[in-house]
Amino acid sequence: MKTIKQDTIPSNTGRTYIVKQGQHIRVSGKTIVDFVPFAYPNVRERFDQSRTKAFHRRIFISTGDYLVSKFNNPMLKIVEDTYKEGTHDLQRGTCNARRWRMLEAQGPEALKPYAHRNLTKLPDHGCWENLTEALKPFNVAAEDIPSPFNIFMTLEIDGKTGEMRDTTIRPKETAHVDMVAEMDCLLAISACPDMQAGGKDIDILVYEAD
Amino acid sequence: MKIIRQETIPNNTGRAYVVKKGERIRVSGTTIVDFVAFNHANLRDRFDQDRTKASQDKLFLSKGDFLASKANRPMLRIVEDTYMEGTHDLEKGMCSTSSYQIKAKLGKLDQHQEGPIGEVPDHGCWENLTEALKPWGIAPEDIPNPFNIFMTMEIDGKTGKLAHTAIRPSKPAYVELEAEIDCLIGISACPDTTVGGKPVDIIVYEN
Repeated sequence: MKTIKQDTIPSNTGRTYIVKQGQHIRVSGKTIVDFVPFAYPNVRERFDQSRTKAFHRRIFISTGDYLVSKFNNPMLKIVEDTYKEGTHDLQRGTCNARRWRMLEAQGPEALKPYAHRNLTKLPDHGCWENLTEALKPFNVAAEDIPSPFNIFMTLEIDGKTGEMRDTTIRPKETAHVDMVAEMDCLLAISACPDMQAGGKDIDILVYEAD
Repeated sequence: MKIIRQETIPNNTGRAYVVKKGERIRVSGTTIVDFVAFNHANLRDRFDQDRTKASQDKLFLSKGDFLASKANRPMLRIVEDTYMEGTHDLEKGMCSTSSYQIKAKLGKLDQHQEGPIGEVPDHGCWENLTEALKPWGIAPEDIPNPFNIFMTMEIDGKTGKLAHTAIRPSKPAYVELEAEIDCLIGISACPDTTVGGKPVDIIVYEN
């Protein structure tokens, strides 16, 4: 195993990595990670949640599954997933300043889901802003950042009623998701402020497997 | 009710409509309709499945719910929904030439089809919407995943299973939406290979 890059992303910040075809990226953490792939250098080919779900006929992905682009090309394949307590998410977009301000405008009721953390205030920015900032050098506009593969984000979903709820289910011990790039990728990653569980730093390892 | 535009979209073709704030659009049919919306004042602000689901904490939309843009702006509100047999979809993207080719290659077409596998369309909703939205200079990759009207999926929130069903309106049903901002709307009458696509009727009107 040859390490190409090793990095820690502080909570509520974002970074980018270029991962070449055949290289691996390992994302380790205990709280939500917003993970967004683009083809590189053609960044107009973006990850697509719906294509990914439609391809697998599943709303969750894990070991052996692909992250698929809007053009229906496999971008990355999950080769290892040690998160056993819950599932990763393909329903939600990126948290963002505008959403926090909208929730605040709704009054204390909107903060109720976070009552267990005694929050009085929501962050001034979220994953959308983190990713926008990280992607600036690549000229990717904010509105062109696709909805992410939300690692370690476990939602409660009722397929009958359509109810969708946040949970505090996260890895108890640090877990990781390992992916191999099926094409050259630009990856944008945000360590989510994770309002339910409380955001933590995440660890990134880009490497060549033996 | 003052009719602004009334037309039928033939099966497996697409059209675009400008619907101004306060105007309504009624979409009537018995098979899947791929419905996408853009903020007319800024076409880069597009409908977003996830913002729509996240802001309302639900996977299915119906009367009273709204379609939100990526910038978290309500774009259209559903004011009437007569589809009672099933739900509308916010999970799937658009069917497309490449998706049909992949399914054919993987031998997965049977999972799509109720009866015997018929002819695989040479194009799908993505191509229909691309064509319909060309006059506005919208690139195919900038067409957001749609609000898939009359597309009832089977979803298992535990296992994650996402399966097609043949559940559709048993007789023509409609969804009526009122624009909360000026919208450009792209609509494709889906070939709906599960049950066989049918034309879709559109009315744009002032209430």
